[in-house]
Amino acid sequence: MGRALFLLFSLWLFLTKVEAIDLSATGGWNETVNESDLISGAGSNLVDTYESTIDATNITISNCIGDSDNWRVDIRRVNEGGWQGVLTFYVKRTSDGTGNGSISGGLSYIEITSTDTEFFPGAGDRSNITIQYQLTGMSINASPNHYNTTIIFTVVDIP
Amino acid sequence: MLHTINKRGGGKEMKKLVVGLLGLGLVFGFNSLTMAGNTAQQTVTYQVDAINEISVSDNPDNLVINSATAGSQPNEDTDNTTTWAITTNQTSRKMTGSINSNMPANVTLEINLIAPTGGVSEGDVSLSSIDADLVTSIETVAESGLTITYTLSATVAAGVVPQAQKTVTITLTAE
Repeated sequence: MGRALFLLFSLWLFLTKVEAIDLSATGGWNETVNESDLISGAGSNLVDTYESTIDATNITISNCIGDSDNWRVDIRRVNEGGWQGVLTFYVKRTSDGTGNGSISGGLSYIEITSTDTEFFPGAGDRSNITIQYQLTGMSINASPNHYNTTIIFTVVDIP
Repeated sequence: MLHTINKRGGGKEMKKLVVGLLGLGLVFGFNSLTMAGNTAQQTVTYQVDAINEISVSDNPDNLVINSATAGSQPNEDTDNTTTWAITTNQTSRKMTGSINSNMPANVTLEINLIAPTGGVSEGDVSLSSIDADLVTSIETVAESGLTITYTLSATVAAGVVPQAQKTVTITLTAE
C-alpha cells in the first residue's frame, strides 16, 4: 500500500511537469527608417521615436490548471546584427486578450533590456494579448544598416 | 526458504525503483514548481536607409554687371540671399556643382558654399558644365541656413552680353 502511494505521488510530480503553462507569440515588427522620417526635410534630423502597430505581437497563455493558476510574463532581448547602443527599446500591453482568467499591468511602456524583467501578471488561460513596441533614440548618427533584436517572452508559473 | 530470499531481494529492488522514481519526480516536479516557464521569441528588425538630402532656399536675385571704375575691369556682382541645407547619415561625402552650359567667353559665374560643421569649403569656385568640388570632407550632419554666394564677373573683352539664365546643379555625392 505504501509503495503504491509512493508511485502515485511520483506520478503526480511528473504530471506537474507535464502541465506547465505554455506561451506562444506570433507577429513581430519591421521598421524602415529613411528620408521620409526627417523632421522637416534636408537640414533636419530624424524623428526620435518610432512605434509599431498596437498589435505587433500577439501572445497566448495556455495549459493553465484552472482560472486561478497564476503566472507572469517576463521579457528580455538578445541583440543581434550590430544593434545601436544609443537606441532604447520599449514594450507595452495594449489589450487584455480573452479568457476566463485575469490579467493586469504592463499597460505602460517598460524598457526591454538584456535581463528578464516582469512584463505583466495574470491567471488562467488568456488568448490574443496584443503587444506594442517603441524605439527611441534614433538620429542620423545611426549608420545605414540592417539591425535586429530577438525579444524573448517567458511565462513563469507562480505557485 | 528460497522463495523468501527471492521475495526479500525483489522488495529491495522495488524499493530502489520507488526511491528512484520519487527522486526523479522530485527533481522534475520541483523544477516545474519553481522554474516552470515556457518561452517564445519574436524578432524585431529595423533598417536605416542611406539618407542624403540637400535643398536650397530659393533662386538668387539677378546678377547684373553694369558699372566699372575707370581704368579697371567691370565691377562684379554678388548675391548671398540664398542658403542650402544638408542631412546625411553617411560619411566621406562632398558637394559638387555645375551649370547646364558653359558661360560666354570672358564671363565667369562663381559659387561659394559655406560648409556644414566638419566640412571644408573650396571657396569661390568657377562654374562650368563639368562638376567641380564645392565642399569636401562632409561627415554625418544635419544643418541648414548655410549661405550660398554667387559672383558674376566679366572682363571688357566680353562686350555686351544679353540676359541669360543658367541652371546650377549642386550634388551631394561620395568622395
